[in-house]
Formats: sequence, structure tokens, C-alpha cells
Amino acid sequence: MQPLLDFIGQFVGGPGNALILALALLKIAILLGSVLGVVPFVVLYERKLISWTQDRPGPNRAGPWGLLHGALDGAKLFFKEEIIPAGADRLLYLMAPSLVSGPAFLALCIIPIGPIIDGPALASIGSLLGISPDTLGPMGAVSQIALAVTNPSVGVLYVLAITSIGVYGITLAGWSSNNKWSLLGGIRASAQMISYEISMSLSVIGVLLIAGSLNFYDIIESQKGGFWNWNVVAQPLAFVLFVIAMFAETNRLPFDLAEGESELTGGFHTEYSSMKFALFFLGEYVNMITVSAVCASLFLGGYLGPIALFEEGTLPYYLAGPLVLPAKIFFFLTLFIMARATLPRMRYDQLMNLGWKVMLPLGLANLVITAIGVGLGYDKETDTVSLGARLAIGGITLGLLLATDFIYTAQRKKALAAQYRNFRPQAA
Amino acid sequence: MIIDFLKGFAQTSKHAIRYLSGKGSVTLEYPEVKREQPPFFRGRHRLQRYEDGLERCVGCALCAAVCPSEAIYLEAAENSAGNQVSAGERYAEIYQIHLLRCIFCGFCEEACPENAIVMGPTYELAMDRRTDFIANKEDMLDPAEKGFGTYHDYDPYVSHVSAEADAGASSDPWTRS
Repeated sequence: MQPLLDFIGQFVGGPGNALILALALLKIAILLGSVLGVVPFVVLYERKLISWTQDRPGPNRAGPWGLLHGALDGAKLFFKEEIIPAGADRLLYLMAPSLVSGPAFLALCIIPIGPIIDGPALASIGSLLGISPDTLGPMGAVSQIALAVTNPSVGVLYVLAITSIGVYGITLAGWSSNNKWSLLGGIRASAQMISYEISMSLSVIGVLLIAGSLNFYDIIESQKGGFWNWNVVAQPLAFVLFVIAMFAETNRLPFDLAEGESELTGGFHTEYSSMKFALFFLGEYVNMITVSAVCASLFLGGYLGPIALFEEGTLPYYLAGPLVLPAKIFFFLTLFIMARATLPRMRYDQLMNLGWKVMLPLGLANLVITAIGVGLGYDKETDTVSLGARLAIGGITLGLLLATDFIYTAQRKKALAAQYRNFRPQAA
Repeated sequence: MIIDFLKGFAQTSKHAIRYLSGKGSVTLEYPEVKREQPPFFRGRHRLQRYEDGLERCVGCALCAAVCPSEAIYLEAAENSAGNQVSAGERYAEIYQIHLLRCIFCGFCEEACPENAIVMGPTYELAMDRRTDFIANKEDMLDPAEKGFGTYHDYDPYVSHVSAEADAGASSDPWTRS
């Protein structure tokens, strides 16, 4: 490996730079390949699981257990006729699908799938690949490998910024199609995303307060030690708000008003066909994977297992990460799909009521409680928040959530009773 | 609200688990497994025989007369001593049903005095060419060795000839009721 790195290094300024370049390309290839490869199976899993909840076997014709259905669906879309409506705004119409699917990948870039490799582990990798310690090693040009495409210090901010670019794609798709249903879908999407992004950001701030950093590695490492250190224990309310906002962000049921096939035919992608539709489809599923990964990293300890099983720096410690995170993503995907199988689509006013009148105040309350708790329980020496303070925050916010739910349910019951009090079935 | 959500999720999960544990599927995997049709199902027609192999159809063309979509074409010929095809004086030399015209109303089987034509259980009627949709006598006639008169054993729908009334029926014209 070393001669090759030296050779490339002549052009990019040293073998270290060559290695950085090679690693970046390798990471991008792995990420893109694995996500694109897994999306057809996520689609199949969705169709299968929904079928099972409806007492039917689901797609099982192509390949064993129907495993080829997703892939063949993609192949089919390649060969479909591409139609651009006569009145469409061509540039925006063509741009919109990539605006939806692109940001999903961009956000996924910074999700760590495993711990940072450094120290002796890095040295042994270097010797295994035949790279000199000057290039790859604890003292070399590349002194650590992060198991994420890139590791910016403002990771969470980046994710929030990038995911909200996706809404441009949806809104522009709705507008440029020159179709009233598409336009309605696009408008709904933009209104919905703006409303829920606020709750999402507010719920994330609680986590940031506890972790004391915007960096994903710092946030995950602050949850180290066992599942009682996970942020879901300290921030149950924020977790619930984030999960709800997650559904809204990805336009999944019960928040798929932008698509709303029963009232808007296909919503924003009504006029899209062939690969342009496939890009929307792909974007939706990659988005699901992305927000699942973000949620797992913020609240469920990311690549960390529920208990610290392996000693840091050993081989199984590094290998466990890339297995644990997909398991958590799988859990969230199952939640997404089961929600689609279970819940009906919300009405537009219900959506806005939930977003602005319930989730936003709860998010603010959560932020205040967390801030007080962190202020009281901050341990200066270890730069962490004590477990007691985190449990207290968790208890209080969970109580707040349950109290809100109790009051809301009681009010709803009362309102329904008032609504039907004067209702008498007409005598025939 | 949270409890209601959990109830909903429990319901869908229950069905998924029930399906995965092997019970509760309502789907038949069609081309491999076929559903048995009820006796009164009106599929493609059958032309029945008596137990001794003689055809029931005597070529009276009442089915063609009653057919609302004029899908039946029939040409009768005389039975002769050397060529006894049916139990009556005449038999259907040509018997065709245009399945694209047929509306599967079942009037033909109700009109038939000999209970020769009945609606069978066959419903897979997709074919490649239009000419294939003309069912000839050979296509509908029960095979001589096994098919005869079984229809009445289970038919509750066509009541004008009950199983009891047809019990003594035979192909001998003098003993037929």
C-alpha cells in the first residue's frame, strides 16, 4: 500500500493526503453502496410487514420470499416512459427529485457507524495494510479514522440544516409540475415541515445541553456505559417529540399529507414518472434511514450497545458498532412501517394543532426543565451531567408528557360528549 | 391518547404475529392453490351424459332460444341405429358457445329439458386468440368414461330438476319419465 500512497502523494502533497483522499472515497463508496443496496429491501420489508398486519403473505413471487421485488421494481422504473408536463417549469421540474434525494445522503454522511479508530488499533491496521506509521498511525499524518464520511464539529446543526433542504425539493416539485394537486401537496409539505422542524430542533437542544457538544461523536460518547446513560432516559419527552417530528419530516403516515393519495392523487409527485419518480421514492426511504440513524445517535446511544460488553480499543469493540447502529435503524424502520399500518392520515388542522399547540409548548417546557436540571447537576471535573440529575430531568419531563396526555384525553372526551349530546338518531 | 396509540399498535402487531405464526392467512396462493367453487357456481358450461355414456342433449335448441346474448349455436342431427349418440331422437351435431358473448346468466341450464347443459366450475377462461373463445362440443362434453350426471348430486340452485326427480332417469326413451 505504501508505494501506491507515495505515488499518489506526489500529486496531492504527501502520502498522508493521499490516504485521507482514499479513505474518504472508500467511506463514500461504502455508504452509498450499502444504503442504495438496502433501500429495495426496506421497501420489500415495508410491503411484507404491512401485508402481515393485514393477514396476507405480501409480495412473494420474484425470487425466494419475494426478495427480488424491490430490485425489480427499481429496474422497472428505469424503463418507464419519462413524461414532462407541457406547462411545467422545466429547470425546477428536473431539479426537484435530486433536491429531495440528495440531502438525505448528505445528512447520512456524518452519522458515525462505529467508534473512532486510533491508538494501537490504528497502528495494527497500518501494519496490516503495509502502510508506514508515519502515514497511518498514532503519531502519523492520519492519526485517527472516524467511521463516518466526515466528522464536523457542528454535526447536529448540519443535519438540521441539510434535512430542511429536502422540503425545497418537495415544494418545488409541487409548484413546477403545473398541477393543482401537486401544488397543494407541495404547499402542505412546506407548511408541515416548517411547523415540525421547530419542535424537532427544540427537542434536540435538550440533548445538546446534556452532551455539551454539537458533534455526533461527542454526543454518542457522552451516552457511554450502559443504556441508563442513553439520552432517551434523560429526555423521554424530547424523544417522543423527535420521533413524531421524524414522521413529519419524512412525510410518512400519519403525516403524509403532501402525498395524500386519496385526496391529491400523488401529491407533489403526481406528475413525475420513471427515474424522477424513483428518485423521490429513493429519497423518502433514504430519509427514513437518515432520521432513524440521527434519532438513534441522539437518543439511543448510536453505535453503542445497551451494555458496555467489550473493552475499549479491542477488536470486538470496533466491530460491534457497525452492527448495533443498523439494528437500531431497523427498529425505527419497523416503527415507521407499523405506524403506517396502524394510524390513519391526520387532517391538516389536526396536524397544525399538534405541531404548534402541543409539541412546541412541550418542547419549550422540556428545554427549560433540562436547562435547570443540567445547571444543577453539572459536574465540572468530569464535564458531565450526573446520573441523578439526568434521571430527575427524565422523570419530570415524562410526568409532564403523561399529564399533558391525560389532560388532552379528558378534554377530547368532553368535547366529543358535548358534540354528540344533542345528537339523536332520526326515527324512521 | 398514548394508551389509544398503543392499543392500535398492539392490534396490528397481533395480526402480524398471528400471520407469522402460521395461522390467520386469508390468501390462497392462486396459481398453485385453487379455491374449490360452490356447486351453484356459474363457470364455463358442461354438457352432461347419462351413466351409460349417451349424451343428454337431444338438440332441441331451447338453450339457444333462451340465450339473451345469442351465444349458442346448435345444429341437430338424427340418431340412427348405427349411430346412437344421444338418448332422444336427435342429437346436437354441432354445439358451440361463444364465450365472449356469453354473460354466464345460466338461463340455458334452466331452459334445458334434459338437464344436458349445466354451468360448470371452470372459471379460468383467458385465451390467446379470439377463435379460442368459441367452445365446441368436444370442449364442453363430459368425458364418456367418468363424467355423468354428477351435477344433480350437489346442485341446490337449479331446482326445476331435483335430484329425486332425476333419480330414475335413464337413456332408455321408453322408461324415461
